[in-house]
Amino acid sequence: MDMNNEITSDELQESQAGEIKRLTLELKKTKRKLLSLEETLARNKDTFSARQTLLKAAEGEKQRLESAMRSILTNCPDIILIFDKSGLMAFCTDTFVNVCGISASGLIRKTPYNELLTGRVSGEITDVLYQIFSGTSTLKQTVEYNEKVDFSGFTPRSYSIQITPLFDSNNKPDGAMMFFYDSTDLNNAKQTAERANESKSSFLATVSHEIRTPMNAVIGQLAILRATGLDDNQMKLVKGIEKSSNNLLSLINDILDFSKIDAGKLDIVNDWFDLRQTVEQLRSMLTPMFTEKGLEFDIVLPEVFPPCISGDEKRLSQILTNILSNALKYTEKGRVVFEITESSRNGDCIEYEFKITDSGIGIKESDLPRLFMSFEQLDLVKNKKVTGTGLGLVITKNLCKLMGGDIAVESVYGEGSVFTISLPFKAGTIENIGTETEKAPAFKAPDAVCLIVDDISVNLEIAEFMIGSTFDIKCDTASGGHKALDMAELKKYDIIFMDHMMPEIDGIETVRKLRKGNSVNKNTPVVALTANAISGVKEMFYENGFNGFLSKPMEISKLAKVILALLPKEKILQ
Amino acid sequence: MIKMLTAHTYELDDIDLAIEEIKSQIDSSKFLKNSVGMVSCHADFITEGITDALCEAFDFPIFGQTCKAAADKNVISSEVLILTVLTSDDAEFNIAVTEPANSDMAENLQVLYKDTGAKTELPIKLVYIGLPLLVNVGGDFFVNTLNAVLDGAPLFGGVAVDHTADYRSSQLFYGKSHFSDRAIIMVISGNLNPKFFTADLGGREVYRDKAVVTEARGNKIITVNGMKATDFLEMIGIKRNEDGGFIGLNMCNLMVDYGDGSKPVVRAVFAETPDGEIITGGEIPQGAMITISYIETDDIEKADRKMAEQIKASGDFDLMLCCSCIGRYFNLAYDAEQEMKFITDEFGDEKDFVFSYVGGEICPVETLDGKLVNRCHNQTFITCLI
Repeated sequence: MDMNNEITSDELQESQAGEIKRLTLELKKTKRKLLSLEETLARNKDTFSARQTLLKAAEGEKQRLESAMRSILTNCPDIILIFDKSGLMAFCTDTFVNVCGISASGLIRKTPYNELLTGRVSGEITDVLYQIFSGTSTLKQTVEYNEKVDFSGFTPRSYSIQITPLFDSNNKPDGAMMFFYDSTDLNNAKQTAERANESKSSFLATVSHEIRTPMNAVIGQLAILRATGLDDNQMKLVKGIEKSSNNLLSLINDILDFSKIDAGKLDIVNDWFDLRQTVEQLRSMLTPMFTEKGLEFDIVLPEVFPPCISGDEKRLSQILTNILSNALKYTEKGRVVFEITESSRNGDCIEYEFKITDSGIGIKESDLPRLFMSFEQLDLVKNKKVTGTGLGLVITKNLCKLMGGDIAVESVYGEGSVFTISLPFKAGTIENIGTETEKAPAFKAPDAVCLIVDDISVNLEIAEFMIGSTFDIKCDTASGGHKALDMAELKKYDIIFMDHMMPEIDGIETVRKLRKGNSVNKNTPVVALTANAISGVKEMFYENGFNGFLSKPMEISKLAKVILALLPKEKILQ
Repeated sequence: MIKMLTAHTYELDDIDLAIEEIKSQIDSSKFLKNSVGMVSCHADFITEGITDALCEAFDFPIFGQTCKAAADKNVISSEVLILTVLTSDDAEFNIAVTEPANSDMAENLQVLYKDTGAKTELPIKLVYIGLPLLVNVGGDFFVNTLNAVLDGAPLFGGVAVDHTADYRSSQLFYGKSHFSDRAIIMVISGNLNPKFFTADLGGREVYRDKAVVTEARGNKIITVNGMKATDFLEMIGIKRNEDGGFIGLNMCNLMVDYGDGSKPVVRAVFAETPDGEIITGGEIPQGAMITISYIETDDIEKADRKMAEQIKASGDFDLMLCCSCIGRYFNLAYDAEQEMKFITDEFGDEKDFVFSYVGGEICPVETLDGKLVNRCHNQTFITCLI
């Protein structure tokens, strides 16, 4: 200020500058604040918009779910009941309302579960529901019951009933759902199918028996005819009939095996056997055939074999015979090599690989997928001369699978094929197989007397011939169980051969009566004869008083072993 | 025992005034043997030099990070700087800053922790962590990396965010050094027994049907149900504005079901990339099932109340360190300060606390057998009581 107390221009300027600075700062702060507010508004606007989008989407989803729920409740053909956590009915399908003859679902809304269900379902089900709604249940998953329920009061129907406890998003109990599926028609269809299956099984067993029996009779009588001293021409004819009969039997066996596989009825019968012996039998059977065709046939074996292995020897032979026969059929020159190797071993579990390599016509790559299909024969033009039903390989593959293994093939068309069969077995010890593997020594038993029982006369003829001519054993015959029991009362036999399937009284019943009775043959050894070896049948015979078991057609070597084992030692002449 | 002193300022233009305001609120006679300063602030406080001046004004180390909003018993604001001083005679505070994020980050972080921990002979009771907001790496990475070397020590802290739409100004500082690609760890050792509480949100499903994360990398979702992640968001109805960005992307939460029987967790969606990927607040493995969820304000209030009751029932304590997820702030919309007001009302009269909004919350949770396991959370309010 000057001497007159007036503000000087410097002071004014300074004051103005200060004010400008203050205002500038204030403006800066205000702008900053405005910017912040604008950002907040913009952000809130975005937030609101995004929120509205999500809420709209959520509402849309809710309506979609409600619509779907409504549709299910109206249209579902099954009974669904949904109870809230207090056990009161919240929702049900219209089917339930209709089946119960209720006018409207509203009438039963909030009805307690026990009022709706007691008397209709079992106490077990209402107990489960009680536990769920009282909070004492530990059930977390669906439980299922099968019961007859009468909703209408007229006709009970079979239902598969599922009870599912419900939980909310916090995993707290939130009620229960019951689902009733009317299984009446399904059960009826199942029973019909089961009956049909039983009929099929019964048919298979009958056909098997009815076809094989006369075939075995033909083959057996041919064997008898052979021994009657035929000239060369007659022998040639007999051999021809034998060959055709064996082919027919093989064909029939294939068809029956295929039917059994299709019906799931083919059994694998495991027993201890010597693999080396099995291979030697194949060698004996097949080598002449290969030689006749001018083919080399080599068998390569592992250095070490266990004393025995557990498996189905018959089916293994069938598999190997089939593949080797095919190799023989489809190879015109060169060689076939049959190699066995131990592919893996784990304790007493042993897996063998059977590899058959031929220099035959091979298989086209495009045909490989059809190789194991039924009734398929490949390259029909080239293989016009080759006979067969086309079932061999499909049976072989199925047998491999049933035995826990598999078959694979590699082939080059025009050069040859390699079939590799892998099968698991259990290795055994000498104790498992005992002396069974040893070939029975030749013997006669002229002082021994046996009784042969079979309802089919030709079978009696064949058995009598085999036993009498091979072992000099005197044979009596009986055409049925009753006759056998009568004869057993009158004469002491050293051994009895008993057929299984006979009319009036079967072999098992006959033996049961024999053992219970007091005849001189009460304890005579009895050998079961059966045409159909299935799993467990051997054990069944032993449990019912039999001492031995032979499958038809009888093999001389097996017959010899059984007789040696059961005849009194003093009657054997070696 | 640790004491807490807090001070705040709104002053951005006059550095001296700002420092003066802070100093006037803090009684330096209450400083004990060891002290440290922690700052939660608007990004402008760093760019305008206020934090640099703050570091010069006090003798103890000061570090901090940007946040969306912060509070103490005296202030609630999104435009404030709050200085929290922790001071103690029987606890030590050792601070370290990591190297910039690179491929060796994991090893560097572990070595840094071990070296920092080696500076104290007292037992380590708490590790406070401030994390940068990185596109390719989320909080899970840091938690998992440190869990391997923490030897059971609890980890607490959060990921820095800021006021911008894309968090481009989010940063941390230690002293006069500012960075957006480094983390800060503070090892607190000595006489303290921290307790931890979380208020997480389940989220409400928008859709019943779940989608499958068909391609993912870390916290980045690349494809969902075989389509680009952003295409999936558009398909479910999230709209784009005139500039092409998603409107309210931060409102979008994912309920992630890992398919291993554990409870589904919420993961916030932070941003989209030009390649059509979306960045989330945590690791989402390929094969995880996701559904879109939203949050109601009632859910936030309910969760906070429940946590407050648990805190009150837990016994006595001296101070509270609080972080909440920025997603909750946005979900609260025009009542954005609700949580901060709630904490002030519940505890402000008797307890010292500091609260900030972060973008990924690091806090241990208790397992069924009573052990503490460090986790990275989303949409969660976390509290550490000392």
